[in-house]
Amino acid sequence: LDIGAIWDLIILSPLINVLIMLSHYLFNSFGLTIIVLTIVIRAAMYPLTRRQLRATKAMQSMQSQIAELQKKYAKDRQKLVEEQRKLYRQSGMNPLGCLGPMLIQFPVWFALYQTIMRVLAVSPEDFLGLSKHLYTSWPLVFSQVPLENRFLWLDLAAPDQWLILPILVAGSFWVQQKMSTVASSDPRQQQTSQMMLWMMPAMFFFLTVSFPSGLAVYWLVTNIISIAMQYFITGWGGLTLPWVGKKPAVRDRKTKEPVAQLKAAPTVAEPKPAKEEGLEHGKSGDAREDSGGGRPAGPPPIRRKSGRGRSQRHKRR
Amino acid sequence: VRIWCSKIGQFWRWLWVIALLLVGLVFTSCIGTQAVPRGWSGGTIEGNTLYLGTMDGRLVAVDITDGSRLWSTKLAVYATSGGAFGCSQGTTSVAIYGSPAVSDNVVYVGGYNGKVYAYIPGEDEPDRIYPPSDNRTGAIVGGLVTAGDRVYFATAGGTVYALNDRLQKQWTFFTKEKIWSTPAVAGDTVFIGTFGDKLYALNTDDGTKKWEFTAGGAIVATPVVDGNTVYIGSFDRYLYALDTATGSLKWKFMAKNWFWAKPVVYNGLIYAPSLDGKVYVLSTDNGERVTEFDLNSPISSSPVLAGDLVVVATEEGVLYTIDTKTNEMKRLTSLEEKVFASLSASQGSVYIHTANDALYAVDTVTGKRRNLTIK
Repeated sequence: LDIGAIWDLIILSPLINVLIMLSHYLFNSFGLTIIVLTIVIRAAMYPLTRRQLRATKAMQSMQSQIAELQKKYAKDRQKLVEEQRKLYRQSGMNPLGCLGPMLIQFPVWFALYQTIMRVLAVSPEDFLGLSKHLYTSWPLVFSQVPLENRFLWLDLAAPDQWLILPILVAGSFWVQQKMSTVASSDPRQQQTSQMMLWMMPAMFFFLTVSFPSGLAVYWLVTNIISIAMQYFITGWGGLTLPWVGKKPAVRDRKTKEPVAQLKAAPTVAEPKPAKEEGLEHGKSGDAREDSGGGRPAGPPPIRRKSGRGRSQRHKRR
Repeated sequence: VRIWCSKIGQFWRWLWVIALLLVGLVFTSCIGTQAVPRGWSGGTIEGNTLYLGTMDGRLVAVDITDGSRLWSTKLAVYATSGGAFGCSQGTTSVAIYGSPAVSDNVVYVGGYNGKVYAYIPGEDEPDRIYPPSDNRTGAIVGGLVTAGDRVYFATAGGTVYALNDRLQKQWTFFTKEKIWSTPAVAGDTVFIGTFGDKLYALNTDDGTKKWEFTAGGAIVATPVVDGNTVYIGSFDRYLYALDTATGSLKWKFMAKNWFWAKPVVYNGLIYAPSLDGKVYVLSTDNGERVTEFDLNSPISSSPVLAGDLVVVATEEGVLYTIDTKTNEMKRLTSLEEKVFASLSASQGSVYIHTANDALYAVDTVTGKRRNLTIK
């Protein structure tokens, strides 16, 4: 088996058949099918996403300590990197952990793109190849294709010519990006965050203008779900709501009271020894788990034994 | 110095992000976001000349006796599209899926761009084009059929057209359903299958509907009419036999995958290839299976009758003959190239247009292969 055959066997064929079956039960609407599929995928990825969001939250609350380190080791870059690494390690956090859900979604994008092109009968060549992916034991899938390509105002096999979907996708990306922007005392990092805040939505705007709307529907729904998840786990983060006029407070999960904002971060915090702060790996995380995003000093440890944490949360409820 | 270093650092960071963005955009443009249709036109033989649409959008005429190319002309594109930077494969040529139709020394061919071209062989420019203006009618994937002074075809936009030999519209029938099927004309009726699971029987005079039959799946295959029965294969994996006058079901037969290719009817038997890799031989009377041949590869290319032999090509490019007298199958040859286009036959040879855009003539008895020039 070559890589293409493995890809077809494990990813593409199951996705095609499941989508076709789903569309049958969802009033033959492929748009609705994509939305349901997105919800299922995001639900399956929830543990990973939750971990990523908590890592982001932890990053936010570690800014004060990072700022201290930057001050302290301003002239020794290597030492600074070492100390930052140490800090991350102590808090049980991987700074690249937030990339996980993103990377996992790439194969889904590719598979969904290929599926859309096949099941909507865009080109005869693709459509003819579709028959090889259909499961003989699922008789319904044979008669179900091609699927209906109209959904709302969209032709799911073609880009949205009215540009409504690209704007929605880019807008939702911006909101999501803004919410997860880590306030930093480092102006260079702030600048990079600002760039990413605009570049990612811009990039997805162009992608949505070029790719079939079906894929853009997936992006939009997945963004909306991300925003909702992010709100419930970390609050509005770096987003300033226009109707409030100021950055909404990060809520403490226990008290539901707003906690201190991150912008105070650079000026805070006496560096404390790790032991005193309870940063030793696997030792004192329990006590600091849900202290909220606005805690002025000390990194919140990321719980490694998720089962344990879950049971505690249940108790709290 | 520190300020300058900092500025340079910022500059590089910006540059890096912009470069990443540009690379992403160029990549997405260059891989192309839409599948590029290439076409799979079969050949149409008139006398000693075979007419064919090539995969680079040309209409060619080949002398089948010596294999030389007699004439070639590129179909005008009329509309182009491509990636954002123009580096993806845009529509620089017209994909041709259906076999050309020849009538009164005029060659008609339909393009994926929705245009019908009428050429007088030997001339570079088309004699007539429909529609003459740029209002395209939807991609033409099925072939064109000529009967009397009419040209019949259907578009992916869901409209069946009847044009006269001057390519002037005589009537249209709108189905609201995508159509990739080639029409079949028998007497005063045009039969056409659609993606909406329907087979329509239309009056050749005015395009009014005589009857419609609803199958359990989409219909891409070309209908075959024999006597008072029309045979049509569907994506619900059934081959249907219907009464041509009323559209009532006579019998149906189930395969394991879609029916895509047009079957062959001969001597009271129907030879129906399926994408499950089998050719089913059924009685035309009641649809009972006489025998079946497993060719181990999907069959999307329509087979052809050459004398008493039914010649079948699999997608993998292996050719088989089925002797209609004995119903025995013989492996003829392997072209080792993919085959999707309909086969055509003349003078003991079968002509195959492969997915590599090559044209071969294969002797139906010896399996000897000749390469014909189309480029």
